[in-house]
Formats: sequence, C-alpha cells, structure tokens
Amino acid sequence: MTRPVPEHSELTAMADGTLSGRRRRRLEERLVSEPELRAELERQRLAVAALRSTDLAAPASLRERIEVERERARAPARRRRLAVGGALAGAAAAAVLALLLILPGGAGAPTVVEASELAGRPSTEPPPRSGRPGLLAVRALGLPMPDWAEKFGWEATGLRRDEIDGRDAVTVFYEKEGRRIAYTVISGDPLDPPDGAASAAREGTSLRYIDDRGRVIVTWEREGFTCVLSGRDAPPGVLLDLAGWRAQGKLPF
Amino acid sequence: MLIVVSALAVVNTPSPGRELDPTSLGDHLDRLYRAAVGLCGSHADAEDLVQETFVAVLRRPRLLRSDDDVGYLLRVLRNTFYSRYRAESRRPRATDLGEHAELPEPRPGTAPEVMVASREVLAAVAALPEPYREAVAAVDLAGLSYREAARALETREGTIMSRLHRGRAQVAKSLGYTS
Repeated sequence: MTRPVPEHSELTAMADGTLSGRRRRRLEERLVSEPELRAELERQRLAVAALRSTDLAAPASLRERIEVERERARAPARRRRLAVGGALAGAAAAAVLALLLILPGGAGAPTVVEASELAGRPSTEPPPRSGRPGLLAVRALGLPMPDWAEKFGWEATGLRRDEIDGRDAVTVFYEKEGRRIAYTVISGDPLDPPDGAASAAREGTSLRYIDDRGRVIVTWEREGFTCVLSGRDAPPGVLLDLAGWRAQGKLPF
Repeated sequence: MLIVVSALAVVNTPSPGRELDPTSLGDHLDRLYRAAVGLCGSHADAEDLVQETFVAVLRRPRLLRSDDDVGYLLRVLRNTFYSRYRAESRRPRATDLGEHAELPEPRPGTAPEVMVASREVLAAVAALPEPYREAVAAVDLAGLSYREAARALETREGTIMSRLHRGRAQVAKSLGYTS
C-alpha cells in the first residue's frame, strides 16, 4: 500500500518553519524513510532561504518621491483645517480666508512667467534615463515625464529642483541641435495663465501660450499640477506639439 | 437620558476601524518595493508602481479594519499593477533584472556578491507565472503571513500555500538548486 503524497501546503509550511503539531510530526516521520520527499523539502528550503535573504532596500530616490507625495497630501489637509478655523472665527473672515486659499494661484503663488525663468538656470542633476517607451525614468512631483528623444529628437539633458514662493518645482531640461527648452512642474493649486496668453489644443489638451520677450511659454495642467514649457530657441508650434503629446496614453493628463 | 442613548448608539455601531497613518507608510517601503520588483521584474517600474500606490493611498484618508497595513498596501499595489501595467499589455521583464541590469541601491554594508545574488533571485521571481509570482512576492518578499497574503490577494490560504510551493519549486530550479 502506497502512502499518500503530502499536501503541497504541508511541505510549504515545513519549508518556511510554520508547520507545527501533529502534521509536522507526521511529515517528519515520513521524511526519515522517503529520500525523494527529503530532496523536495530541501529544494523548497533553499528557495525560501534565497528569497528571504534578498537584501533590497527601496532606493533613496523613491524615498524622496514618497516624501514629496506625503507633503502634497498634507498640504490640502492643512488648508482644510485652516478653512475650518477661519469659519469659527467669523463668517466674514472665513470668506476672505477661503477665497485666498481656494482661488487658483492665490496670494503669494508664483506666476507662470516666474516659473518659466527656471529655464535659464543650469541643471543640478544628471540627465534622467529613459524608462518605459515614451517616458523618462523620473517623475516630477509624481508625474511621469515624457521622453521626447525618439519621437521628436529632444534629448533630456538634466534636471533641477527648486522652491518658488513656497511651491516645489521640478524642471527637466531637453536639448536638440544646440537648442534648449525646459519643462517645469509646479506643486499646489493651478496657476493662472499669463494675461494675454493665446489658446491652443493638442491631443485634446487645452494649452495657453505667450511670447515673453522672445521666449515662448506654454502652460497647461496635468492632474491638477501646472506645467510650464519654455525656451528661447523653439517656435510655439514645436512647444505646443511637445506639451500636448501623450505618449500613446502613457502620460496622464 | 441623552447620555444613555448616545452610549448605546456607540455600543451598537460597528467599529469603523482605524485610519491608516500616513506617517508610518515609510516603514513599509522596503517590503513593498521588494514585492513590486518581484511583480514588475524591473527596478524602474517597481519604483513607479510603489509611488503610484502611495499616491493612491494618500489621496484620501483610509480606514482599515485590521492592523495589517502592509497587507492593505500590497492589495493597493497589486490593484495598481493590474489596472495600469497590465492595461498596457506589459509582461514582467525578467531581462531587466538579468546579468547586465543596473544593480539596485544596496543597503549600507551590503556585499556586492549579495547584491548579485539578490538580482538573480528577483529575476527568477519575475519569470514565474502570475499567480505564483504574486504569492511569492507577498509571502517571501513582502513578509506577509499566509493569512495576510490570502486577504491581500483575495484568495484562500490553501491556495496561497499551493501557489507558494509551486513558485518556490520553480525559483529553486531557476537557481540551480537540485539538492
């Protein structure tokens, strides 16, 4: 009479040390006389040891990204608390406070033109690597950033992080044939487009653009963030095409 | 009287659970990242996946009915993985963790040979069929118990153990463990 093959679950639990009691004793008895079973258990144990010794820590870049996300998540909560406090202080005061907090680009916020001036500063971090097709292996405040190299010939050449008027701003620089443009994402509530900015649309995205003393500035929103693309050496049509490109749906807007 | 009624109302109201503490999320980052690397088969995709998971969790307060934060996060991570990455028809790319792949960031003091070994193990996990990969990622990489993994992966404990057995057997074979 052949003995039944042990359940997979028993060998699994034996291999990682979680089998106990009568089932364990029963399996141990069988292991003494069944070399094939012993061999199978040994393979399982080796696999468990290898898997559990995987010494892999989350990279520092990921920790930074998570911290930025936490800060972003905290900001609206702080605003909500302030708004409640304002309401208790009095209806009139609350109305004023709420207006200041809710209006896009409220008091103290940077302007799109100010944000675009980051384009003239040097990059402070190395060029982001290519990630999935159409995307760079970097995010700006949680947003995937486009890799325009293959489709448009604009190579990502650097990155910098700034704070303007209390807002985080991440800028990726791109270059093509000696020309340089900058794509900045700004945290917080959306900023108003510059006065007099013209309207355009690409791939269903509404874009606003203006020529500011020879520098074209395009601005639009992605997932509630203000994006600014600017450069001295690229015509508006080029920047609008780049701004609206969705990388076959991989870039969330 | 009002006090009595209020007290009864409290007693009869099912416990709403507790709110997930955003400040504690960083404590689970390494475990989630390892699980994500196992699921995605790529460090870059794993970083994106973990970040997207945290963005989703932080978007609004989350009430949990158990103390199992990691299990909850893993469930969100898995859902994010399937809703975004599978929608893009992307299969795990074991080659991303192959011989020429960039090594992940080591812990301070980690020996290079350990890093290489880790890479081989993770590549073996990434090559597993999906159900086995999920079970191995949940239990052996993220460190969940069978029960927690079953809850996170929305299946039975017995199924998890069976998948683990098969997954570990394939990992052992990929690593050349013939005992």
